[in-house]
Amino acid sequence: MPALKRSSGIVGMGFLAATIFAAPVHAQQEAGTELEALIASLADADAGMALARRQIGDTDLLGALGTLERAMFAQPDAVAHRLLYASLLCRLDDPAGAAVEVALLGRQDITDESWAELTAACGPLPRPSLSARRISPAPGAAS
Amino acid sequence: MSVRFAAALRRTIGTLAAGALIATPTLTFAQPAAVGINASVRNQVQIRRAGTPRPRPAVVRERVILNDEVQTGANSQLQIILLDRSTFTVGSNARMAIDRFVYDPARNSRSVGASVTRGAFRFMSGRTATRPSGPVTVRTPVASVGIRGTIFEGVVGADAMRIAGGEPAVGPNIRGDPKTATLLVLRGPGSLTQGDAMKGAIDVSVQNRTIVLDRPSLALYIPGPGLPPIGPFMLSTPGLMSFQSLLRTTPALIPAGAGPGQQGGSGAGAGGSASSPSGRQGGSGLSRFFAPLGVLAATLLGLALANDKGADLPTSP
Repeated sequence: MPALKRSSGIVGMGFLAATIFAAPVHAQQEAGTELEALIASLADADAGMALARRQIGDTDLLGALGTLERAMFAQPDAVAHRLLYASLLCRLDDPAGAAVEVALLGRQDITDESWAELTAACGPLPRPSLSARRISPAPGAAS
Repeated sequence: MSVRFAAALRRTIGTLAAGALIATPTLTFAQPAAVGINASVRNQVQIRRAGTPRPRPAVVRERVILNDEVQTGANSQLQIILLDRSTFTVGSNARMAIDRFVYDPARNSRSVGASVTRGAFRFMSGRTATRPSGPVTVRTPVASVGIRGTIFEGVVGADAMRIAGGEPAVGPNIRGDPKTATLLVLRGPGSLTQGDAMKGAIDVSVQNRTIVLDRPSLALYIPGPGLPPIGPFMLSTPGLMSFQSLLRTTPALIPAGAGPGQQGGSGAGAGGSASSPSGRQGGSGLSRFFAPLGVLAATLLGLALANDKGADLPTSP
């Protein structure tokens, strides 16, 4: 009988150990599923922007930064994304990084709303010139 | 062999067998050891799984396994989201592996290690509900970086020498090793950060010393094995732009005086005539470089006036 008790105890400890080892694995699997859902939401630039806005609303500024970086990998020319990215850098106290991103925009079209959001985060800034427009083939023009 | 000993032996074997039955599924379950997921792949990115001879192209949503070796080509990037929501971006011409990863949200703990042997990289701490604690370390051939909730960037190799050589604090005449030279820069968050981000810092261990970078744009350059580190110093604006070009994307630039709606002008605007069919302008190298710098100078001036914290701004050559 004592032997049976000992064996039961050891088997019980085995179960406990198995549970302890398994818990992080299960947790990691769940986290992986969450990540896939996150990636799936980035089907297009608009979805990326929407997710970044949600993350900002949730005060997850670093998460929003990562989301916008992904979106800009897919669409380097997305002006609104880069301006929001720059405003986040200002909110994270990296004004020099924000300045680099704004400078990269050069003379591309910037909406008043996007610019207002940027200056709200970074303070008053000289707005890039609007005298030139984005290069695109004129209608009917030969290449 | 006595009867008592034989009985004890049988009990022991029986217990071990039961333990094995319990443990086997757990161990089998743990085999894949995924540490994250490829969130974004741009241009030439390959991953070589440990134990396999050849790399294969990285694919978005593919799980990243412990000790996967990431290799990137020119003008290429990979963003990995780790299970603890940290983000690791691998930039152009890089080689990197996540070689340690333990994450247990239930215990609110983690331990993450990565090694970068070449190229540019960027690490950004993630946010989870529990804010896991534990060491996060990135190693380069000449330094080990301990991360305290932060965003930081680094570059290893010839690009590090090139960028550092343009820094006033380093200069072009410093001897370095083009394979192992390492340049590190903290990007934030700074002390005035908002949201739920906390002020970040990195502890750089090099040659039995620990050097702390605790302000955005503060940088450290290690020219090579056994060579004394240089810094910390504030990375210049061209230096920040060099990191930007290695780690992120650059939009098509509209040159001065180009495109419909232009107000005349010439000079740099001549580059506009070289626009590609895709809409991206060709432009001369000079116009592509100096036009944003002009805007940048004005922008930096505006930020300096607006924020009244000029000490935090990078030095400009």
